[in-house]
Amino acid sequence: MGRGQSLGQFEQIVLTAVLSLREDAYGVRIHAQVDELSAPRSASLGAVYVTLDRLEDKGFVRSWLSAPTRERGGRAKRCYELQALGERALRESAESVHRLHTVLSQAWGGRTWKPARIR
Amino acid sequence: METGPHPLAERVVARLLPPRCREHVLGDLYERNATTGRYVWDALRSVPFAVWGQVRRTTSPGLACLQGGAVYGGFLSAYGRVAPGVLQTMDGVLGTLTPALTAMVVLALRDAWTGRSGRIGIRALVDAPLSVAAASAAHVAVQALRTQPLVDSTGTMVAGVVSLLLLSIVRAASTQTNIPPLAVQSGGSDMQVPRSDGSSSRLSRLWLLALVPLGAGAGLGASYFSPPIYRAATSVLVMASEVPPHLMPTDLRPRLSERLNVISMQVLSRLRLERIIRDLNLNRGEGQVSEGAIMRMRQDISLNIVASGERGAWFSVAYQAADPKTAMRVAERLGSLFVQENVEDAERLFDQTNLAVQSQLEETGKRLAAASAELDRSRREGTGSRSLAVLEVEHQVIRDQYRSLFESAQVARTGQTMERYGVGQQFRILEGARLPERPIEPVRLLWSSLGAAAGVIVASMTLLFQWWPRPPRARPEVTALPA
Repeated sequence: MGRGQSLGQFEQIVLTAVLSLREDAYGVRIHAQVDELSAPRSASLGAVYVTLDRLEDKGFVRSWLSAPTRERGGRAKRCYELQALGERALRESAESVHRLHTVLSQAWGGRTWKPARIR
Repeated sequence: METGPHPLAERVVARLLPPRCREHVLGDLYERNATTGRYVWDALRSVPFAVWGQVRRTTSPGLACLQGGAVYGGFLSAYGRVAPGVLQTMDGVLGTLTPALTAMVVLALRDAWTGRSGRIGIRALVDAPLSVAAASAAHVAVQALRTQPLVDSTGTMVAGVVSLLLLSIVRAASTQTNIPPLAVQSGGSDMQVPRSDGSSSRLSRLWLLALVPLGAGAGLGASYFSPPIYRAATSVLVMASEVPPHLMPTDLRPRLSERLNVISMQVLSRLRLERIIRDLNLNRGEGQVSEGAIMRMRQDISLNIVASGERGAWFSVAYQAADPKTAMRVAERLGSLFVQENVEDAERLFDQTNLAVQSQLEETGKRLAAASAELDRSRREGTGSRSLAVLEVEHQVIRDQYRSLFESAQVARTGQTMERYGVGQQFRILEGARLPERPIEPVRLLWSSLGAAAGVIVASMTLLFQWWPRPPRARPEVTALPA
């Protein structure tokens, strides 16, 4: 995979959110999911837009406008769907994280890893 | 309790968003926020990112730099013409970079709003004047911060016209570059962007060829907007000193180049130039003469030694201005100043020499008188603390010294008199300044050549953009991979 096709950390989170939401993947929901995945840090809706645009340019997701709805003030949603290229990139990233986790587990003597408590 | 944002707030936010992302961003903001306050706060945090996302998608960094460079080139030419020395200062950098950056931002936002297809057709004709107008406004704003503008309104206009020509060329050339439309890249169903085919590629090559004569024509056209510069010169003859060498030692006769340097510094001093500006009303009745005006005047004055020999020399002092009469009047005044300063400088030199010699003469005279008195007393009384022989030697030495100083004082006095009567090294106006008939600038051939060179550069850059490998995009075969 070329340099332009590799994923950054935030891109991984956004792609995971799109994957997990499936048919319901649009701006507000993706942002809520990203917030949950990146806790305790929070991300802005604008940052999610920029990342989704970038992922679309890379061909990792595709988007389309749905029909307008009342709860959105008569505005349409832009729905996103993960593409084959995006899924492959996400899988490679996940494998990389898994390998990292395995090595760290061994280095720490098989102890179960726990995130440090934030003070 | 509010059930949604106020329609006015929604309309304002809609105006701030590029059309391509307007629909879904407005919908998302509506869905997330039930009250107007929260809606506005959320919009303030999200809209800049949404705009940036569109700018990033529709603006190529290389093309943006090229467009900024075109506007920068325009303003650089205006500054280079009016005040080239200012370009190395912070004012010059601000004055040229601010319009270029403003134009870059305006064009980037314009592309974000109209999309890539917006560079084609009638919109392309609007973009260049719009961004140049914004750039000129930014330039005027920067100039307004100064007490004395570096470039006047004519200069700003010339910069605007040159920028417009260069920018139009860049925009026209960029419409022919085969940038893959977003619809093809991502397969989005709501993006309608015309595809390019082989014919547009051929057209692009023709455009590139046409850029060179187009640039030359643009340069020639721009030269007609450039203000004419007239130059007038006064020739001054330097006549060698007619004072005999035994009356004026060589160390009191400075070389012409040294003398000219000293006199030039005096003529170009703030005091003298300020007087010329006031007398000839060059600051158009403004009370205080600024440092910038003095600096510009110094840059417009040139001194040239045409011929130099033992028996004399010939130099010219010239002044260039936008008005031929002003050029002539200032050149005449400068010539007269050189003649006047030369006389005053020579007199000052002999005055100082005379003064120094006189004071030494007086002191030596007192010492001689004291030595004579002591010698007489010793001779009368026949006794003293020192021997008679020593006193006689001392008296002899002081007397010789006094004689030598007396002769020097006579020489200085004679030289002073001769300078006063015009027998020393003289400056005489050989030929007064004439009213220049033709401007020395703009040189049309140079402007055309520069325009043609700009055309070659733009064509090369465009070719470079066309051949430069693009980041990997989604291809149909890639999307066909198993999920």
